[in-house]
Amino acid sequence: MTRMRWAPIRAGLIALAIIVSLLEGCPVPARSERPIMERRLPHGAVRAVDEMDKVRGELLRPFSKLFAITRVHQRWKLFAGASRKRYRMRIEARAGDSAEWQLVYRVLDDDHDFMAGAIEYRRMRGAWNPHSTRGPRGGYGPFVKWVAQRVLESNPAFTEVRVQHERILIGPHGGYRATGEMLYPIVVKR
Amino acid sequence: MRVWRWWVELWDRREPPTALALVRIFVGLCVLGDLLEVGRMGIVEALWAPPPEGMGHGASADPWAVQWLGASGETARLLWWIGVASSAALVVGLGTRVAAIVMMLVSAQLGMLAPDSDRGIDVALRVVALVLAFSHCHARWSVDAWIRRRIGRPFPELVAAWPRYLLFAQVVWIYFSGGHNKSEPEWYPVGRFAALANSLSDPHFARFSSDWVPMVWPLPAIATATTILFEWGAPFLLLFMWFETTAERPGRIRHWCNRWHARWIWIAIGVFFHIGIAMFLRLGIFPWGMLATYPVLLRSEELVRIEAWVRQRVYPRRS
Repeated sequence: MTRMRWAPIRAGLIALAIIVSLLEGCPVPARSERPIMERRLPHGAVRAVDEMDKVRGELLRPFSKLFAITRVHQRWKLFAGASRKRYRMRIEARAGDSAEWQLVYRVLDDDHDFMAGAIEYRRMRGAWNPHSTRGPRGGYGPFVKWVAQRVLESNPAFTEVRVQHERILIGPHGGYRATGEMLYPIVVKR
Repeated sequence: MRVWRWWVELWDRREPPTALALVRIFVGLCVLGDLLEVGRMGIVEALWAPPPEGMGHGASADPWAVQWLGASGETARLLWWIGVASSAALVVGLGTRVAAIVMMLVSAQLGMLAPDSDRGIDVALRVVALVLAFSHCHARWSVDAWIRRRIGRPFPELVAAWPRYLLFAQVVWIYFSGGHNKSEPEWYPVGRFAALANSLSDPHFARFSSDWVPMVWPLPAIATATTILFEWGAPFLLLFMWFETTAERPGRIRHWCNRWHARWIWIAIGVFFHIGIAMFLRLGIFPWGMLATYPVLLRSEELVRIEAWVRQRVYPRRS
């Protein structure tokens, strides 16, 4: 009897959960994607999307706390980045202001692999791997400070550490060539 | 009214808890393995302590862990220990519901402390843990089930199937959403399906040097096209499942899909896709975390048959 009474309530709650999840996962362009949308779509369409997004936001408001506490969302960007503009992060150190920079780590370089296991671990990479369009992430500065400390500890002769990304260009069928252009450099002194 | 009755009946079905128990064990192992890897490398504080000790710049947003325990390396270490304990408890099925909720909340707190280190797969496994917490995933292969048998109150043979259905829908949505969020041209003909060649050549993600990638062209392009078809086609999985459960009804498409085992083809592509990712790209637990959810894609009677087959080979005498 309890099961029979409970079944419609559960079915209703599941329907609500599915509707809320689908609303949350609706592929509305993010704020950062708005300029692209404005370039590609007519003004009326952009306004319509904005209005729908406003309604969606209002409907989701009662559930926002739940999404925040569980840090869950329903917009999945599985491996979405696919552009040919990529980077290759490197860490260099030197012993004195006029000394040559020595390469201590470069991604996927067996000859320069200082702390490679930890640096390349997925969560750590999340901090230093730049966003394809928005550049370095919030964790990049703290990462540089942390890794610089490890490098300085590893060799007392080093006085400063530099972390930067070399821009690489991937070929039309894969493979890449280095461009020599260095981006997002941060230098940490002892 | 008929639709509502069908909806209520759908979510009230019962089945053996095998699929949910497998997901519980596999998901728990993924999270546990990932956290133990962090411990082995000695980067617990580096990842989640606030700067300058670590990369936990999200501590300034005052998540619960910081409000209650303060922003420090000790807080990061304590959360890590709780994460390890709760994921281990989920694997063995000890206090399973509490373990699932605690694991999910700790994962969320760690994600708040270091937002950049919280990846899509962490979010997906949190969703799965939340659903598992409401399920009878501990009715098999668990300490909870063993205790219940010992005290004379065993779990029923059949448990509510709705958590598996919900996880099934979640897996479908993850792939479909992943597909329609891929807006870059490299995923489509206009970008010559170059997406996977680009990823395989990216030193930040590639497992090997990229020299081999141009040599095997157009295989990466074929793999890209297959990936996008697989993701966009994910909702068909619901249709294939329905065709199989209503096999006695007429219809040429139903008959054709069942005859060619369309659902199994989709699952096989998914397995190859994730094993390929694990072989060629360094994405951590992503491929294993997704595969951990795959038991929900199987029908309960299929799992019963698979289990009988395994038992026959492992324990031939007993069978």
